[in-house]
Amino acid sequence: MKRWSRLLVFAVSTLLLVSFVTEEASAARRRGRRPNPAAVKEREERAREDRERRAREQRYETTSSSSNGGNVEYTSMHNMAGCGLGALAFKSEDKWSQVGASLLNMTGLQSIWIAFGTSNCTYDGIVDARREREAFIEANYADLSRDIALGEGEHIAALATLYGCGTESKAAFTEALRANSTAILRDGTDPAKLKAVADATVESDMRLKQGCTSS
Amino acid sequence: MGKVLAFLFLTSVALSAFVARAVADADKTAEIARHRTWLALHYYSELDGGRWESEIRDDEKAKNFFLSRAGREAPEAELAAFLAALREPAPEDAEADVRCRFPARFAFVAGEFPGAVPRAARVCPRFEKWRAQIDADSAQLLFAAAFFNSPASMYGHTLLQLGRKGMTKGEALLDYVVAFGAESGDASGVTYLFHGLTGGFPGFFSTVPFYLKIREYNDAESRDIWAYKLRLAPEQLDFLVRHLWEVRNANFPYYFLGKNCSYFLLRFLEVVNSGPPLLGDLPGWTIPVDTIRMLARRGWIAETAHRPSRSARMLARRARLDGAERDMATSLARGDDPSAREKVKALAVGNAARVLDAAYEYTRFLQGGRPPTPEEFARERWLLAERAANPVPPEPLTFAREAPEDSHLSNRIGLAAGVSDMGGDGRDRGGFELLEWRPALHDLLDNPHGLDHYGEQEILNSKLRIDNRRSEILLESVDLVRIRALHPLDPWFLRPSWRFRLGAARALDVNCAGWRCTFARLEIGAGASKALRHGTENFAFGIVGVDIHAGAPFAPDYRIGVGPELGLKLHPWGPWRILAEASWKRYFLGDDGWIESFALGQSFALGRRWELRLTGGMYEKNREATAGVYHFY
Repeated sequence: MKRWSRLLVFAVSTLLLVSFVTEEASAARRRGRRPNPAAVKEREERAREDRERRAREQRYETTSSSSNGGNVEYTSMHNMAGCGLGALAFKSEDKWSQVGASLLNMTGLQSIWIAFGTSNCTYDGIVDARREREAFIEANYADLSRDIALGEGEHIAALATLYGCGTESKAAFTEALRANSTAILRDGTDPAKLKAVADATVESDMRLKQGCTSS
Repeated sequence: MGKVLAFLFLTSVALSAFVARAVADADKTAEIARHRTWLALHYYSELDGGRWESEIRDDEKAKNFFLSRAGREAPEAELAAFLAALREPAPEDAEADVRCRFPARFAFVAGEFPGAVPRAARVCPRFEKWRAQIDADSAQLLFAAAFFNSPASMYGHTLLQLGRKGMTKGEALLDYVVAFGAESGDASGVTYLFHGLTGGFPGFFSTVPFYLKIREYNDAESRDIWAYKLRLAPEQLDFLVRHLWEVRNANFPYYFLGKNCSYFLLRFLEVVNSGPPLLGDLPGWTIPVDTIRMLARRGWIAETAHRPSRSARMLARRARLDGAERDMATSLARGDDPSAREKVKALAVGNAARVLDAAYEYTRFLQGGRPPTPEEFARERWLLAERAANPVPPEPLTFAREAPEDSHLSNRIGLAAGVSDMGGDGRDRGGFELLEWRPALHDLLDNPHGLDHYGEQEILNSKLRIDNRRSEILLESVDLVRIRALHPLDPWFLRPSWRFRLGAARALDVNCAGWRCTFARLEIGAGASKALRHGTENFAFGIVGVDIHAGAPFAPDYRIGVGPELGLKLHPWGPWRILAEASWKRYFLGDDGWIESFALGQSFALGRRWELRLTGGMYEKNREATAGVYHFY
């Protein structure tokens, strides 16, 4: 009985030790050396360039397969790179970081603050008014898809507001996008495409063209 | 002679007027520098001896916040430097002008000291553009409620939401939110935790759009969000926004217990406070929900709104489904049964809508805070496409609202009288009293209204025992931290239960006397909990725990054991709650042995401030029973 119990304790403590060591090892890999502000900035720069490159690639795919009017293709080809808010992860996988994050009121490694701060659609802690639609669509793509499918919801109402739609036009905006929902939902996650469809919808629908602003 | 006298007289009059005015100016400067608003704008705290020191961290960024080298420790020096800067020729670049760098300070000084301000306000393009985008016309204090079971959401958080006016009025998603937190840079792992607790990371104010915070709290962390509208006049709100522009580049110390997000949010609001100081009522530590209660008492709060978490919405939608529909929703979200899609299409249109809505919420819940995998995204798209083809609108949901500020108060003191029978044979019987003090927060027998119903979280729970028979005062136990997260297993919410305890206690089963019986303990464990009836407080739990005890009572100074703990929590009626626990531990290393213990506790909650409690327990052969009273304050 005694040997049994000793083995059990040994197993439990080894397990704890192994999990602790692997957490620390992966954390150490992520850390490299002590936090260095210059290194953090460089990392953010590289991350931003990656995002821009990916966004450009996505846009190229979109415009080559999009069947929207030529105007839309032209505009989106010449848009600046996306806002980099599309693929935010809101929780670190590392359990220690999660506990730490809850204590510090930040979200750990992939903090929203860094992503938001280094996005080229934001400055001084706010979203550039000219890029608000893009930023909102990127950050809320999943919820927007849901609201469009259902024809109602807080997110689509907010998007309608960003398009300058008055109270009467908001319902029309939502309905017009819902009519287009098959096209929107068919392809992969593409905030740029959703924006293009929304732009085109406002442009082409007479009621919306008066009640909202397409640019 | 007369002319000389007259000349001297006039000169001395002019001179004394000049001197008097200079003296008055100096007095006025000192008075302004001591004005509560000037002090609040710079986060000065009064130290012993009448000195003042700003809480702003003394680092690189402080050089941008303070104009004077001595500014961090001398409000007058800072004011003098500010006034001097105002008298200098205005720099070409508006962003270098102190009127644009510090619009709140300028507004305050111009109001209090109009003579000293040589020229009017300046147009500050960058600040104005920023202010126009924030466009605040209301402020709400947000409280993200704690969800004990997940380490990321164990503590409540407070933030400030600035409601936008104009076109976007009423679209809360587009509001900006002011949050105070610390940034950890590249750190992670245990060092992250360590630095976070010991002030190693600087805290600062930042703004993000509310829609990002919702995704963080509601989606990734299963927290409900409560919004408390603040009664602020337009000038106060404008002043807060000006101050936000000034302060967003400054760093503050961050200590989880004392100087946390709630503490600094109150200091932020202090700049527009005309009543008693907001921090005056608080003890040395700051518990977020207490700050809400305090603001409510002071009349700062107008209305309350509730935004349930995704998990709450998901469970509410699932509650409308019957068994077969529930299985369909589960399969649609997890993708483990291909026939579920056909089954849903065969349902009546209203039922199908409900199943699809529940399945969709579950899908998003499973993703938590991360972007979906391709398979998850494919399932999500199928659900949305099906839903788009279904004309029935989603059912409105209702939630039982247990407002966090209605929970019992955070501090607790207790007095109990008891009888004990050490050894169980009647030879060592006696009476005792227990004095208890617990600054935070909640245990399983306290009334959980407004709190997590399946957990307990205690900090610095201290118990002192007065042993009548031996006429001595003993330390019964001190728990630095004690957490038990016992959220019941649910097919959609497979969270294991866990516990953690770090503290000191008195050994009962060892031959020792008095304070030499004290030992340190670290106890951890994991297990599962099962609800006895859904939606009630009744549940049973089982945990396998590892105990590590160290101290003088043991030979050789420590013991390590493992074993199961079982518990049953019942809420038969109203204020009456019962908790029964049993534990068996086999200690192998160090002072080995086998210990079993049982405990039964009953509590009767009397409002938010009082509770009666009866306990009885058996620890090995030692038995004792107590009856006591707790007061929450």
